Amino acid sequence: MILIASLVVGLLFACGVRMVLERELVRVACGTVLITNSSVLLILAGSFPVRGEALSVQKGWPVTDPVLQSLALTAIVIGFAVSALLLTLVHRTQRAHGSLRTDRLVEAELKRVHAVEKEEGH
Amino acid sequence: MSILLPILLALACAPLAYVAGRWRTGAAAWVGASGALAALGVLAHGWTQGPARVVLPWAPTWGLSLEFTRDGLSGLYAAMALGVGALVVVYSRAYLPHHLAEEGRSPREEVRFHELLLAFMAAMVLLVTVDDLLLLFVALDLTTIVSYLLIGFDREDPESRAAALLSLVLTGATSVVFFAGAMTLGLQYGTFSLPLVIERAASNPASTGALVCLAVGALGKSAQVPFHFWLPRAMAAPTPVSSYLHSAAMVAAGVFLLQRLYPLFAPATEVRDGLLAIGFLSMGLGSLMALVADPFKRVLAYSTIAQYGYALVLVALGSEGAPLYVAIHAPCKAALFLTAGAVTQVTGKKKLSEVGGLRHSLPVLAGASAVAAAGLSALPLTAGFFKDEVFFHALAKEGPVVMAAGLVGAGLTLAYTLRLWWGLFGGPRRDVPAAPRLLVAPVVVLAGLILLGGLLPGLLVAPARAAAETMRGEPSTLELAYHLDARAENLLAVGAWVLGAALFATRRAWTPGLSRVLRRTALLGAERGYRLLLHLLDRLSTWLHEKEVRDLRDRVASVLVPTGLLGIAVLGVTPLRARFMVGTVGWADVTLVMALAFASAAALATLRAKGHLMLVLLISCVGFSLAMVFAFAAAPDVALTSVLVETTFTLLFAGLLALLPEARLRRAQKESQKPRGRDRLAAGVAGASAFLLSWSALSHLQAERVGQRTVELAEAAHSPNVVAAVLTDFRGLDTVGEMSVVVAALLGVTSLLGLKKGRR
Repeated sequence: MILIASLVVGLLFACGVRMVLERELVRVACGTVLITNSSVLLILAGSFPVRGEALSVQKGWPVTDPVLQSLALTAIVIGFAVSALLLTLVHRTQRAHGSLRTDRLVEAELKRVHAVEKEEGH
Repeated sequence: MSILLPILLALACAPLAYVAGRWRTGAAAWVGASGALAALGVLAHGWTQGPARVVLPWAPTWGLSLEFTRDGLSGLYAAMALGVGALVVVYSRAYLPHHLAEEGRSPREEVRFHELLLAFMAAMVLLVTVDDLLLLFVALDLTTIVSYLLIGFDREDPESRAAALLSLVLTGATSVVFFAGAMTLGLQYGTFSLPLVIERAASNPASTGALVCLAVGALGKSAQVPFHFWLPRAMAAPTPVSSYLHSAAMVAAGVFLLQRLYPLFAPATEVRDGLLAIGFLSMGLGSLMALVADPFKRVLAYSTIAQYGYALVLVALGSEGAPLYVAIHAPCKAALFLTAGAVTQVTGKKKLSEVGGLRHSLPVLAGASAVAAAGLSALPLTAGFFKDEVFFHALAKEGPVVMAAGLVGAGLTLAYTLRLWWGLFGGPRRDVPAAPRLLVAPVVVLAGLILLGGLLPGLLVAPARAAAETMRGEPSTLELAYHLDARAENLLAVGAWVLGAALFATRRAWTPGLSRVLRRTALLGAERGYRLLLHLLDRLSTWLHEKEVRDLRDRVASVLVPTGLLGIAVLGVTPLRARFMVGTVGWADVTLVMALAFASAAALATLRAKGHLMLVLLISCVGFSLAMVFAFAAAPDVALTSVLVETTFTLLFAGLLALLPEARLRRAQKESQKPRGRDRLAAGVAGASAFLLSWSALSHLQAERVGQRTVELAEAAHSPNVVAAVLTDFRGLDTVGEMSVVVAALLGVTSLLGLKKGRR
């Protein structure tokens, strides 16, 4: 079970990295979502070996580790907020630069930097 | 309390000047100067009550406290900083309006100048009164920062800005080295409190490395070879700044540090020998440069390098005259700087070759600066005589070679001082308008002090002895008096005067040759090395920036791949028994495994997804599968939240796709090229590292969990749901942090979406 869980964590992470390395911003955003998912899974995988009840505890019953659960909850919520922000940024960038490709954006940035440098040079 | 009062008064000067400046521009200087004088008065009163310390707790759990001391060294240097500071502020009241008008700036900026000058004074007073290694560093950096602002006060002038940056980089970098030395000492002795460190060092000498670090910090501050070249550049600052920072304050800080920490250096003879060599080198180099420099502020700057070389020699020899030397040098040099500023303001010229013959138009200034020049070149009847007397006294014990070097140095001092004064005031008569009285008055006051010290040397003995006692930690027997006999000190002094006069008389013969030689050697100098280093660093940074910014993918990969390799390497070297465990899969786990398999398949499929909608659906498929995993893993709260979040997220994503123009999406899809080989490699390395690290982590779960304790505690929290109890009761602060992240992100989302189209 340990091996399987960590394999899936590694797989999700690898897929996430692969997507982040794409040229297109929508896919980059998707990649970060996958990476978030893999880390949530890793946190909760710590509770896989000992599983039990979560609600209404009776004395002596096995319990799924509540600290890990709350950490996972925090991670999910924060991951969601950040991904939402990222998606909005994708939208804004597309509007501002008229492109969804990172290399185009970099070209625009470099052009601007060179223009500023030229201005300072004069 | 009487220890803190002068410090508090000094700290209050700058704010008071600000308030006064709001009311009337001219009032700032007067309020600031009176504050400084009041602090000086309180300091002198406290001085009569003898040495004392005060310790205020700061962070007791870390063994940190604010420690201040009142002893000979701090008294002498604080009096110097406050006294010269007050005079310089009064002088700037007359100097600044003219300077600002020339630069075409608002006269209101004068207030800012006074504030900065007074803030520098406060930092300096703080530096000399603290008694703790960390606080020493903090005060040292405060002086660096304020001096940056002061040197770059003429911010429209590129030369001034460059000089400020150079001084910031050099003195800042060397003070970081000082910090390293202070940390080493703190670790070695388990405390930062200076008296404790010195006490423990008596039985367990400080390490040479730490001492060298401390010395580098001091040398950078005191503009000694090889860090000397920032000082002449800093002459781009307005003259009051030069006369304060580069006579009584900033440059003195370095030598002060060495004197304050002298008990640590005392047993380390090899470090002191190094300091001795550097001192002599700075003396020689500074004096020679001062002999040929043309702008008169530069002459004074090189002279400062040379004079602090003397002070360094005195510290290195462990002479009890070291604090006295700095204290006497300060008024002489400050008076000469102020003279230079007054001459520049009256004539508009900055070079020796452009002025001369001013003694008829500026008789008072000429007289007062003659006294200051005599003090600098150690002529009798001025306090300066005694600074060379203690110097020669220390050298006389060290043998003929050192004595000869000292004699040459003192002779050069007289020669360049004569050249400077004669260049300004001697020669054929030239008529200029009279200087404003306020510009001359501080010079006269300083000259009066120098004469007073020369006529009544008994006044100097008590503070000099007290400072020497603090420095060396043993009673001082320093004597200051004129002796009319053939002792070594007197012979050396006479020899130096003869040499200086001869050099001055024959100056036309050797000046061109010397300046040519110095220009040649400057090509090999430290400044050139510094520029080369800066240039290379600049090129490296440009290259890295271009490389990094060229492609976002390289940027991400350049973080992920090394991190992944590092993770794998860490696993390789950590000795963990039974590093990897496969674990068991029972019948109850089958559903879990199936859900995990589903998530993996969906994640793999996203890589091949053609359209954007398909991509979104696959991503949410991964999320929902994971929610299923959480449900089977008996974590219902997580599963519920996950489902909720996934649903919202999918809707949001679909909404975004609707906002993006269809054509652009399709084009981006078409244009996104085939994955590069190295992207696959990067993903592989990162994934493998993540897999191995999590496998190792999951194999080493402790049987004893924090969770079990929280389950027991949940009853006390009156919550049947342990997770809710953890979120709200036990880790409430985490939840608040989480909430703020969510609120910040949502604010970002709404403001980004609300922006008008076309605006960036």
